[in-house]
Amino acid sequence: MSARLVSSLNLRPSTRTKLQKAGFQTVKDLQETTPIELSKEIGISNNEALNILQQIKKNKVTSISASEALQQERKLCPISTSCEAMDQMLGGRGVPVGKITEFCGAPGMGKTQLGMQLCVNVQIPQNLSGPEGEAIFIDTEGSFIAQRAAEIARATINKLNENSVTECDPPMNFDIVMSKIYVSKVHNCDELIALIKVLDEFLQEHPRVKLLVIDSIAFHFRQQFDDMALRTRLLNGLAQDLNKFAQSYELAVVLFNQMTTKFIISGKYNLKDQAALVPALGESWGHQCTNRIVLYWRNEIRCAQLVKSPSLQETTVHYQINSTGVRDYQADSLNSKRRWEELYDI
Amino acid sequence: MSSTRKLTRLNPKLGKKTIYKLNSFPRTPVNTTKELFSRTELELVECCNFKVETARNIQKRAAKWIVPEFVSVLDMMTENNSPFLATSLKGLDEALSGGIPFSSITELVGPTRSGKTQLCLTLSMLTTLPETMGGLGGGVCYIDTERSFNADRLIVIAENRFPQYFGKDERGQANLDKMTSSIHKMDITSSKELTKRLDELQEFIIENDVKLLIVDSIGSLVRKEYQNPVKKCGWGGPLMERNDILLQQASKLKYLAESFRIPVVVTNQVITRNRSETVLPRECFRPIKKSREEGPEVTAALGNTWAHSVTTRIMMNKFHIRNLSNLKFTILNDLFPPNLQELTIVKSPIAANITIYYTIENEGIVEFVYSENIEKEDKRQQEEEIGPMEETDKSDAVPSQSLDKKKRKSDVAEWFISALWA
Repeated sequence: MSARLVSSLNLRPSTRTKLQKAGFQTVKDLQETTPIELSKEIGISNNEALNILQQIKKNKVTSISASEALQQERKLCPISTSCEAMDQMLGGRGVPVGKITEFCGAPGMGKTQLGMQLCVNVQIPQNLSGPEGEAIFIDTEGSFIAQRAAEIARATINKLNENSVTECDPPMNFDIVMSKIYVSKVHNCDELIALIKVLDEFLQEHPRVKLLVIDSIAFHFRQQFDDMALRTRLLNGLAQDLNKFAQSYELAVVLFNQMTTKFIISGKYNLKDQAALVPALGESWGHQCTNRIVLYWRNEIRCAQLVKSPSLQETTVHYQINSTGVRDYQADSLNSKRRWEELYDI
Repeated sequence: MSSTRKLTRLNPKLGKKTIYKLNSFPRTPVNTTKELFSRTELELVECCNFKVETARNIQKRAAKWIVPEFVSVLDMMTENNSPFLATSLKGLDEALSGGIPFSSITELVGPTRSGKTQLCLTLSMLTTLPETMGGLGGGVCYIDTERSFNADRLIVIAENRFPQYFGKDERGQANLDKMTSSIHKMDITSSKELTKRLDELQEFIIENDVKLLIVDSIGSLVRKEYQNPVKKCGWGGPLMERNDILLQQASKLKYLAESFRIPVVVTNQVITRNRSETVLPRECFRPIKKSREEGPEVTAALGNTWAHSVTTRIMMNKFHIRNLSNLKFTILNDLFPPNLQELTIVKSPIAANITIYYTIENEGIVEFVYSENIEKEDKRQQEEEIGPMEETDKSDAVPSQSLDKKKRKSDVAEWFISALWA
């Protein structure tokens, strides 16, 4: 360590002598003290003591005030899901940037398609109040199909271009949109961990990346793990890295999780065993994400329920998935069914 | 699997001292990348006596070594032009934007006699066809666990579907030989064997230029070996073991599908569960049978964990207009052929949940197109009716009337179909 002399610090002569009198020879001696101790010992004000210590401590504790945090959060543009109800549920404008959002759902709920929709929507330009970023899609299940992503992109672009008829050049170009979604297919959990370890380099090369999708986090972690403690440790490490990326690169991290069946073995007095459908990867994983949304079917309608959020109310909304991507639920199809049932007197 | 590499091969080489230190990791020496990534930085520092930077550096270098590359979607699209295997069912192909998707698992679920194996055989036959005829011009690996593969049936399907290509002449017989010799069947009798076989399949696929991998069926083996896993001891135990085996198989199938860019088709059985007795949650998927009243419902076997592993799931079963006992559709019954089956896309990242209708004929699986069939029948009936009527003077009025009636009939039926599945 450095053995810089106290006399070489940028201080008032009187303070310097006071320090020397108290026996502080090198910077090393000063490192052991706190501002208050120092001010009491040699009789200087707290501010002066702080000034001395700040000169020798290279990394001071950084923090931001709540008002600064508010400013920053307002500046970050959330990513719309194209379903207004779901955007409302997530705080008004969509998936928040700088946080981890987890979507859990049974098979066939449209998780992958939601991911594709977000990858397209993150590229909406700023003049249309979008984040104008790029997207990373990490595919662990092999279910990312480029043709479907293209279909969603085309539909979204057409919709946007319709709305802005007055502008002469279209706001989004199909080829550019497609070239700004980076897909990586990982085949086992080692590759996934390795990918996360080197991801910061990729993020530095591509500073416009605003969205990181992992579809799904659960698949590789649900097999070949005899040692559950190891799994928890690895997952926690992964979550820490993701959290770090989310904050330092201003990313929206969207994770998709599978559902698993949990058995509640009845005690002596209960009559029946019970089972429930819960998000996979266990309890401790549930703490890692800021927002958690569960997707499920109810009466043939797709529902999304916000189950965990630090700031928002628990709500349930309807959504649908059609050829153009994720959209608001419209009651038309249900009505036609009812009409038909009335007609045939069922 | 692919990313388990010996650390001694890392280029530029790790120092001898480093490797020695990694090997000295207590109890589980770190020799491969897999072992390296199951250790945290802190563990490496503590147990192997590394500096923090060294540990971080080793992990980073190893990570760069095995990490898969990023590809933009634009490049993905230009790479492969026709990543779909046409199924010859027009409605299904349209919905799936071309057919069975490559590089992913497609699952066919249905009760017995719903035509799963028939569809598999049809697909095998189509795959062997040259590319000019809409096939893939490659081999097929057919893993048969239920002993349901039938070569005679395969030939019947081929001859009936392409009577010119597989004709009775010499050329036709040669084509038939070529087709049958490029479909390879494997009999598997236990789930352990299946897992092992999937590991060894890479060489087989390269050797025989396999373009389609079929597992018929994935469910039968594990369901036989782990009977009624839930009832015995609930959580843990056999159920966990079964799921672990299934997930391993799924991950291997996915790896093969992706590395070789081939479609993988698996079939699965169905289970009936009584709504009032089951402890399982009901909302995980939609049942195949849309029964309105309380009673047993039919869903895919193997549960929720397996269902996550398939990319596309197609449900097949008998057209069940008669099953809806509370509907008064006896008039409509005779509009449909008795062997009508239906096929629904339940899960797919491409398609909406649509239903198409098919029948099993000599040619394999044939799509049932309502209006065409009705028109044919109408024409036949018209001819029959018009014949005797021409002698009378009312010939103008009556056919138009009957036409009207038939038009209404077909309209009602079409509307019925659209309303039922809206």
